[in-house]
Amino acid sequence: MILNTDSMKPIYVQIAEWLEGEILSENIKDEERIYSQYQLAEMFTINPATAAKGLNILADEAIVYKKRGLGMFVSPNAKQFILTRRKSQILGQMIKELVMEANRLEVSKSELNGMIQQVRRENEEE
Amino acid sequence: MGVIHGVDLTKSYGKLKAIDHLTFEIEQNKITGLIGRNGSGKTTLLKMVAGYLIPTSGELKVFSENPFNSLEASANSILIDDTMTFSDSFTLVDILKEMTPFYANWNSSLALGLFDYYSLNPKQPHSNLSKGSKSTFNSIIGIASRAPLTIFDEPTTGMDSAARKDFYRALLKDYLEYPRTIILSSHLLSELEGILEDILLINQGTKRLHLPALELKELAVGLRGNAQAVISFVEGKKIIYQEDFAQGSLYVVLKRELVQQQLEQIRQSGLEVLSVATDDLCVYLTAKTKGGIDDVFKKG
Amino acid sequence: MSSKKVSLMSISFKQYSYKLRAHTGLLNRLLLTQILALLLSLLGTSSMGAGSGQLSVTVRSYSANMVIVFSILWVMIVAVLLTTKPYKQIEMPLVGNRLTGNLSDVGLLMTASVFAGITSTLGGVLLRDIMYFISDRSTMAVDGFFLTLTDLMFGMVVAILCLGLVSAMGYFIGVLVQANKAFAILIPVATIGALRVYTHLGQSVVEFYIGNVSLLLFALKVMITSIILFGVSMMVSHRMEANQ
Repeated sequence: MILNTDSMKPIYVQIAEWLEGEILSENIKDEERIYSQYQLAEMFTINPATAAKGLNILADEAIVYKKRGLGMFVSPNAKQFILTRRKSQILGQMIKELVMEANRLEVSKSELNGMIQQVRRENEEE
Repeated sequence: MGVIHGVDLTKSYGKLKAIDHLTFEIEQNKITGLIGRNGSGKTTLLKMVAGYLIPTSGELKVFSENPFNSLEASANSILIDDTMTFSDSFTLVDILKEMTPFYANWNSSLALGLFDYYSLNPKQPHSNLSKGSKSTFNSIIGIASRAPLTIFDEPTTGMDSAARKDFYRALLKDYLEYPRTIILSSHLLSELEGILEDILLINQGTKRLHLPALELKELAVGLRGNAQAVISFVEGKKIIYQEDFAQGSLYVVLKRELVQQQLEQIRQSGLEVLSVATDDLCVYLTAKTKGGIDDVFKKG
Repeated sequence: MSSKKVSLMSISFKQYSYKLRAHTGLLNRLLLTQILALLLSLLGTSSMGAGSGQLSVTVRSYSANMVIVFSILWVMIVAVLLTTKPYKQIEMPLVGNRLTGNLSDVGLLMTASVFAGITSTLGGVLLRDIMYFISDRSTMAVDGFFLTLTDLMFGMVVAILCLGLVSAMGYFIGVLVQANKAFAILIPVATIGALRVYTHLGQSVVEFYIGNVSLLLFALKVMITSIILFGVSMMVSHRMEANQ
């Protein structure tokens, strides 16, 4: 697994997002044990402290929880939680930037809507 | 807990101060990167820590002992660099065997395993190795020694990119299995950044930064765009680096915390907010002169 | 991780045994030197000729001194070499400090002296054997030709002691030169100067050591001098920085 060290995102954020991806794709299911900081460190060739910080992000959002002496486990409804949050945060941010860029390029409201509809149709056809 | 304590540490050669009143602490069982440009004092510092050089003034403690000429400190540490020499009476495999009685935690199977992996010629003497192969071979000794304090001074000199990646991965894997205090010195941060926990950045013998590697990536932020707009946001704040980017356009780097509250506002005013690559940040922080290489050409 | 206690003697011994294997090349050079000396000895160390009328006499004497002299030169060179940077550098990857480095060097030089002492004494025996078989035995004057075992052992001990003393001197000079390069000029100048001014100095020094017939006293004097020389060498190198 390769991490993008040049990315704007710190490595621990990339780790957290990768883990979320694993939960979303149900590679790790509810109530299953998630990778430990040492496993993650080995998988990604990163310092275990960095891996721990990635896990802590998920723990702070209660996506995973700690079982004493057993490690971290995926919370029930973690997938739903991630989906909801990504919708509101990530998609929200992207749309914000999209609208800003559209304004900069003097794209009108209806033109922008049209473009979005166009991409949707193309995706559906595929 | 600290393994190495330096207080007001100075090492001078005549008038030149290779290390200049440096106070620092390296924590136990962490991988620390010692970063600095050529001639910043990295090697001098590491040689004092390894007990080869006497500090001119100040205090240095390794495992709560003065390391110079200390048998105790030597038995618990190893310094891997490109000046390591071995007798031509020994083949490479001989050397790995000869090291065994000296290091209490020496892992023979790991040493031979790594040796096989890199397919070095077992019958070759050390002095015939190419620069890259020598670094590779020396790094095997460093990893297999499992010394409580393992120091690598520019360990990847001459290694190709595949060998460097293998070295960092081998070091990290063995560290996970057998945690110990490791110092890696390098002038190039980007490649080894991932495996570091702490970063100590030095310049001209003094400390510029010492912080967790995670924080370095978020320490600074770059703003780029219309010069007037950029200036309006950064005026009165301490600039780490600035560069005239294009006609009427300016790129500045400053601490993220100075503009954290205004980032949204900055973006909306059409400026780009960029993350600063850690390598670049280190270069900016250790610049010998104000401005960059471009200024040399401007004067002409 | 707690730091482990280490013993000075055990580390010194490990370094000694490491260096013994690392410097096998030096021992090979000793054997080569000795063979060369032996071949030179076969030519005879001195030769005298006299003739009158019908009779002519050529006296050729043979001696194994050359082998000893070459061995002494070798041990001197080895002792100096051990103090130089390339040889000190091989200690760098090892656990140790200045003292273990010095102690292992002393062990190495003692081993070298014993080895060179034995081989050079046996070289004398070999020379006798060769002469015995290749020359016309009827014309051979056998002054001290047949060695008793006691003589042989005596010769060996004296050779070893001499070599040991020379190695201590060589090491001491080497350390001084490493501490300050000026000694490289100062020592020969001072030695030659002293010998010029006090013309009997060289003689009296030699007499001090071998003036008495007692082997025990000779051994004692040589050993004490060697210990002092090595001791001072260690004190001088104690504060020296490695790899400078």
